[in-house]
Amino acid sequence: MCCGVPLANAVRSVAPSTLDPAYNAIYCQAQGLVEKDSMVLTFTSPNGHAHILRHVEPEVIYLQESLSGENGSVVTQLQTWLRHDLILVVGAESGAGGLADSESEAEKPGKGDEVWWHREDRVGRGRGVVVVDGLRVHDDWLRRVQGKE
Amino acid sequence: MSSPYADRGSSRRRGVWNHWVPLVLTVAVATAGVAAWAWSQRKQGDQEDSEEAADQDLDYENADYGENPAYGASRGEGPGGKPPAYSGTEARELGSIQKDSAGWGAQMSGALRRTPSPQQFLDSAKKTVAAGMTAAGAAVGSALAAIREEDKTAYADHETWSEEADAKKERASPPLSKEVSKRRKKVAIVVSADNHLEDTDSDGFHEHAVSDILAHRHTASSTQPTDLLQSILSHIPKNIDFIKIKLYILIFAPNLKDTSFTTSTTKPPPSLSSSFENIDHDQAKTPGDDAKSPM
Repeated sequence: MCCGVPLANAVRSVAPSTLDPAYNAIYCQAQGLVEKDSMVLTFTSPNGHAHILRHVEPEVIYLQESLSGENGSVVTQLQTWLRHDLILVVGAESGAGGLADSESEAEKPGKGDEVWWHREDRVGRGRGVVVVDGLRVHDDWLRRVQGKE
Repeated sequence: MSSPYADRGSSRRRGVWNHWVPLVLTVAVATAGVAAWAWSQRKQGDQEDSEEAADQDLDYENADYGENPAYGASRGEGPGGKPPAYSGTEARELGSIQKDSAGWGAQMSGALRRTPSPQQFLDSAKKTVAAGMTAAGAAVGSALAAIREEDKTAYADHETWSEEADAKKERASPPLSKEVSKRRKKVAIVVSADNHLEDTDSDGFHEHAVSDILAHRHTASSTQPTDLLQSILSHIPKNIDFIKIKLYILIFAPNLKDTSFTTSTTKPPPSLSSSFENIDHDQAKTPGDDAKSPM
């Protein structure tokens, strides 16, 4: 799509001479979606997006689950001012999709810990957090952002 | 000498006389009384002053109605003759004629108070109905006229209103677009470009923050990094209506910090560093050289 010369220019303008292919790829993809290049914001601190979102004040936030902070602390921070639901995208990173993954349990020692967005008191109705599977983001986008059913 | 038959006949005649005369007299008196009552009632409406005098002059025994000219004809025939009821109707006709000369208002009020006699009732009813018809007609006509007038004004108003509405629409259309631009739905997508397991481990934050899925992504990202990292954004449709949606994409890139640090040490960006550092030594020396050369 945009992974040619323009991509190289864009990446160089934001992050000069970055050699991170993953970032380049995702920036390339984001650039194809947004209106202006300046609306792709890169942050490096783990909870920097909380501050950026505070200034942007969006109505709809799709937050990757891995960036929700420890026990959803970032989400809690966002919900101090966010009036709308926050869409937590889960399982998007795993390619295979799905809320259940068996591989990680073998690797991670804390498999007994339940993820915070499984708890009823965090993501229940009216809690402001909507958990959406990564594969369902498209449907949720059509319904929520574009107003189509 | 009177024969017993004659006596009987005379007695029979006398009996007939005795029988019929009181009956006729009674009927006549009763009729006269009814007529007089009706007359007095009617008179009440016409002349209240002469009413009392007429009442005082009434003599029920002789069915004599005094100096009232309406009863002049009936008075001459006596009580046993024509029943006074007829004279009553005559008087009623007379009264109605007299009343015609009277004012409309008095007639109306009298008609309201009077006992209903057929002819008068008919007359008054006719008049009332006619008056009512005219009044109703006038009312309906005025109402229709008012409605038509209202319609006229409403139609005129409609024209002006539509003009106004058009003007308003034209005037409102530029602010509307402005409002739409202001009301653009802001959408933020926060994704992570962090796929370096070593960096996150050294960061220390993700050791505790990441969940099982993130760990899974770390293991999987080694095999297919780009495909997995683009997963959220690849689900977003490409044709976004920017008139309605303002899309921000936040990318978490913790490893970018290190690269920027490294690049800043080797080659600082021109905009961030001091402008004096950008000047080469040759360029900095040129004023001195220029100053030296003329000497």
